[in-house]
Amino acid sequence: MMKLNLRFIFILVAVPLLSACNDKKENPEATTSVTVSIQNMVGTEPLQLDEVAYISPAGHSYSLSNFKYYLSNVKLIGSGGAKMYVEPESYHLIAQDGKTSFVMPDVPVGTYQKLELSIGIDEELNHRIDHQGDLDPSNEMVWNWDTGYKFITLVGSYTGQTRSGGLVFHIGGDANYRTLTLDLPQPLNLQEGGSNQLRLQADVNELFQHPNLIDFEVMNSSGHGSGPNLIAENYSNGFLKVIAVE
Amino acid sequence: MKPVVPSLLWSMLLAAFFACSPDKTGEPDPTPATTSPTPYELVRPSIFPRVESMPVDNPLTVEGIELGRHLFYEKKLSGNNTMSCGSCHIQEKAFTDGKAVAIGELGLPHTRNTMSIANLAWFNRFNWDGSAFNLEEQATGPIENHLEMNQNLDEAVHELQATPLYPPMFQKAFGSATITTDNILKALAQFQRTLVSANSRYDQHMMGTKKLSSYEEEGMDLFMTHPEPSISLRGGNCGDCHGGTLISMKTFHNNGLDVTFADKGLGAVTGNPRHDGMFKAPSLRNIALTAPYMHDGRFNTLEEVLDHYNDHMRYDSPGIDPLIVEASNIVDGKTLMIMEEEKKKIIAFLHALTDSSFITEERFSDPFKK
Repeated sequence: MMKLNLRFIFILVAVPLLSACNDKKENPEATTSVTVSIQNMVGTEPLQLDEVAYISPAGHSYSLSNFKYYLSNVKLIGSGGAKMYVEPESYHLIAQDGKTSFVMPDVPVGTYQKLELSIGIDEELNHRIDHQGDLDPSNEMVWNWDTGYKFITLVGSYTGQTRSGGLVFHIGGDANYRTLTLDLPQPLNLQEGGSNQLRLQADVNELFQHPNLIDFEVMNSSGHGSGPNLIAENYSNGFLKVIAVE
Repeated sequence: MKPVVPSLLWSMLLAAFFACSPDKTGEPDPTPATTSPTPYELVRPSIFPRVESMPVDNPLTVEGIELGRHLFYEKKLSGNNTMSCGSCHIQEKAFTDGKAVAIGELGLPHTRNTMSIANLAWFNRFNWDGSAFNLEEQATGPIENHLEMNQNLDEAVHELQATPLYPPMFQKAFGSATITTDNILKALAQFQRTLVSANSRYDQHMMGTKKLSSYEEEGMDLFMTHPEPSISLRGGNCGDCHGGTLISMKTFHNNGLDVTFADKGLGAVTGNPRHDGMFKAPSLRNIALTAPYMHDGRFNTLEEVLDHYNDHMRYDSPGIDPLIVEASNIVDGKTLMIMEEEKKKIIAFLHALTDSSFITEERFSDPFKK
């Protein structure tokens, strides 16, 4: 009798444990995964580091050797805000020579109309050492814990009409943390299984215009002060867009 | 009334638990062989990033680390049995040798300065030129290079096999008393991954246990700041390359030492001329102990290093880093333009990166000198 009971307990315990390893949870709500991929562009051209010279909106030739930025706090929003998915530990360091996509694994099925995300690190995590997502107290995106993270680092060189030299834009500071709500070109209709992808483009030239035209002969480096604010206004406005739902 | 749960059930529970666990640090195998080594967990200091990479085929074990420590100080790893890794990587100097360039077993000078060894588990490219991508691969270089230890690894295997000491140690660490090149390199890598330096006064300051002096703290702020003269923000501009809590961004740069490159550095590894003259920005932890400085040891003091960055930079060096070119403390300035007092503050901060427990830690020391 004792033995029988124990066997019963064993089954009770072991079965849910075994199935706990299975990713496809039936309850309480069906989910699927969504890949977000970002292609860095300069206008209509895919960005290439080092080799290619581009023309800035102010008309100067430039090339980049390093381009990285933080995307964070990613959300998917259904129509009328009725449905919302909030990605946990949502800190992604997008790098031209590194990570250009990420997977959100457990998105509830349903229909979503908008993608919300932020450029930079929210004030709460910007001033402490943490390891959520791609936060790292010793990567190239670090200043110190008073200043917080660099939200964008862009390094390269430019050739102007009267002068030329290096380009160093390090943009950070809580005031420049910007949350964007991007319309999807068509609704993202998630069903169980299958693969889903949101394809985004980020246009480097949009950092240097709309509304603030950046003339490299006047401003070619920026980490603090008014320069980053100008660029933050630009990256709130046309830098990122969703080009396809697949 | 005491609930009775049979041990079988417990082991099932444990096994199921571990099966779901993403980071397997323990041995999931419930039937331990008598010789299986004891797993060793590398503790991440709270202000550090995640460990960069821990190869799946070379997990840390107590026995592997102890073997690696012996091999690190083993002179049979040199051609004429006069040198070990520890001959140039001397613990009291944070695993450097105090020389401009290393002098190898044949008495011949190397072209490069001996690098400090600390916190390597948090790095992903090794040597001044980034030529090694993991520590297992890295160790082959200094052992076989005729300007360094000048030993053929196969020969080293024979010599170690003939000792009474090593076959049992390899047996314990890797389950076989037959010594192999791979296992020598694995053990050395394991030992080096345990060389963690995270107890400097900077670390204590960051962890909130003991503050730096205000003078040192001003030095730290200058060190970490890229200057922004338009808003009167002064900076020494060191942190762009030596920033973060590792005091290294793990990146490679041309820091304006030369106009032509006797040593191409990263460029010789990648074959890309754009990388000529680029070298690793090493961690500056324990920097006050690791003079002379630069990849070729050309500067004897930290003062000389600061003078280079402030006063003697070769801005005409092809491919000099824009992070350096664009940094000045005056509007439209052509050079860094920090003041002598600011240099002194930065140097005071650099001294606060010395970890005196690291250089005296018994576990890192020469076991043959006991």
